[in-house]
Amino acid sequence: MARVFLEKVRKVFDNKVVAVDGLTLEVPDRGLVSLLGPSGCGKTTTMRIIAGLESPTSGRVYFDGQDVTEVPPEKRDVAMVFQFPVIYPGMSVYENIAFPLVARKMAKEEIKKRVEEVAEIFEITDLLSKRTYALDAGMKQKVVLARTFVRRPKVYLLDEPLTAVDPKTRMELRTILKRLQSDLGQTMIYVTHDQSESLTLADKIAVMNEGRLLQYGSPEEVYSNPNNTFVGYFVGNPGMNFINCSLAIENNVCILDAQDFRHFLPEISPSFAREIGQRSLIVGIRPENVEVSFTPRENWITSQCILSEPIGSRVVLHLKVGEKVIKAKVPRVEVEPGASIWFHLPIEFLKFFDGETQEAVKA
Amino acid sequence: MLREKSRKIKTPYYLIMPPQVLIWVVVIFPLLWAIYISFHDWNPTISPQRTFVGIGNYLNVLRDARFLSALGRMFYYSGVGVTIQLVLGTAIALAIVEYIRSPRWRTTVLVLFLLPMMMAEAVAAQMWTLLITDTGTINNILVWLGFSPVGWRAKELALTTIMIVDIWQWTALPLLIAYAARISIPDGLYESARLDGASKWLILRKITLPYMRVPLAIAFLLRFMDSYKFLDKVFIMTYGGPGTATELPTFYLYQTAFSYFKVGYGAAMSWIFGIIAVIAMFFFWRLAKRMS
Ligand SMILES: Nc1ncnc2c1ncn2[C@@H]1O[C@H](COP(=O)(O)OP(=O)(O)OP(=O)(O)O)[C@@H](O)[C@H]1O
Ligand SMILES: [Mg+2]
Repeated sequence: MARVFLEKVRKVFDNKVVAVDGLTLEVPDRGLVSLLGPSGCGKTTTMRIIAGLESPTSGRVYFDGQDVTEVPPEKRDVAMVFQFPVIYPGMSVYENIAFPLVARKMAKEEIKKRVEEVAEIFEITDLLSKRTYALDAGMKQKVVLARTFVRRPKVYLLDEPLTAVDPKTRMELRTILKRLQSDLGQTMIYVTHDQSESLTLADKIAVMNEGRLLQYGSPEEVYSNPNNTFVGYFVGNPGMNFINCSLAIENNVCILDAQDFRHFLPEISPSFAREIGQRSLIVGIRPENVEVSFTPRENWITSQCILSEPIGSRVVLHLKVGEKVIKAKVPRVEVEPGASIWFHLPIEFLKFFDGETQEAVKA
Repeated sequence: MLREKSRKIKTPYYLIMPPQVLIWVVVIFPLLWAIYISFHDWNPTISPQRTFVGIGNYLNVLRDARFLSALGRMFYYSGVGVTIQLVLGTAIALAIVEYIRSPRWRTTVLVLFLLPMMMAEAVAAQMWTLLITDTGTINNILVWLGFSPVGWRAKELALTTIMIVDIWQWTALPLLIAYAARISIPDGLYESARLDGASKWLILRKITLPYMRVPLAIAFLLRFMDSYKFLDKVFIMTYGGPGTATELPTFYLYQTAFSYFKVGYGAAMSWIFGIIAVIAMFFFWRLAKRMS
């Protein structure tokens, strides 16, 4: 239980790589925050700095308002789970899980009680007496997670804990983790580049790119109100559609002019359009918000379906208009490649971004 | 067709013939010859006559107080000496990894420790012989520091002195093996253990040492085998003396066969000595296997 606060943390490695760049982030007490970002954006480095395994080049780390930047990892009471399970060789499953408690010189009976308790939760009771080398990655990660939860640290750091795990165990563990977190009410930071994991687990998501924090908010906020095009693109499957465009006014009606097509936006007031329409814009819309029709509709845009890509129970249609391709995610349908499809971009789902800075334009 | 087939089958035998012949001539025949000799009384300087004595030589060896005390010295010398080499080498290797971060410094320090090992045994022995005479450099330094000089080659100390010189020269081998074993331990283990709140001592006991068990067992075995056949330093530094104070089985064996020319007796002794080695190895492997 602790509030974690990173203040302007920057990490430059010996090889001049700037892994984390001016990161300020507050993780509330008992919060489950997910760090989300592409490979190499500095997620692991951030976690290692919180754990104390890496010291920041500049900036400070606080736990509950206390500066712990110089405190070594063994004194921080933080647990970290790495992407690949770290099992202590030559110890049995029981000894592995008991290790943090042994390190704290806890009484034998208490250790036994706690280990059995946590083994129950992770459903590995029958493994306790086993040696570890024969376990598969999924089982090993279960042991590691059990070892993490057995000692109830201040902060849990989970760095892509489920990436190396088979899909079935992954689903199982996701549920267990979510339940544990809400039962125990512990501060937890969870790194993943699987955004569905982020969206289902986290109270808040921090989207990072190139060592910087791009947006920090609830899953809902990050999903529906991306701060910039990167967040819009990165969150969601597939990411947002982006169309370079400008706003024009004809007969006092606002028109979105994307060169390859024009789209009437009668809902937008001409004054607003005049205000923001001066610069080049990017309009973004999520594929699941694009409306499609298989028959012509008035004022809808005509396109050609060039690809249909099933994702779970839904299908993503790639719709070609002139040079542009718009993705639409719709309930499963059979579509012949080359078929004509009409689509429409509902105004309430349109997000405008500045063409230069890629930042969201506030309405 | 049949001929073709039988020739095909013979070819491999022709191919392995030369090494076979070599092995028979230089290994197996001498071994058999040694067994044959060991059942005889034979002093080639007196007469070519060999008298058959059955297992008499063997019984005499087992009753030979000089042989048995040489054997005792060997177990003291290799047991204590090799253990010290192993503990010291491991400690130094771990200290290097723990306290020296820069790769260049690490290499430098390692090479410094390896230097004695690269010296020929005989050269090292000769060098130390000169250093440890009663008025040698070591004693001069001791006196200068205010201690009294030490009789390094006196009866009580001579074997230990040789052991110390051997430690000086050979600690580098377990050191090198321990170093290689230590740096092959993944960092993740240490990071995880530190986060779990483990003290340095607990990490050493529960992670580092268990991980290094097999390489260390091999280092022990290598050094033990070496000390078993150890001869050079005794030969040069003390020639078994004073009296028989530093007489190890190898040296006594050498004396028996090539100074007293009791060839049959020497052969029996070497067989007994060899069998003890085999038994020792056998127990050692059993132990190593139980550990891992
Ligand atoms: N010890 C190191 N020395 C030098 N550069 C490093 C080191 N660790 C990480 N980096 C670099 O820092 C950047 C950020 O790495 P980091 O591991 O934090 O990314 P990540 O977001 O965790 O990526 P992934 O999703 O692949 O795990 C990368 O460019 C990486 O190459
Ligand atoms: Mg990472």
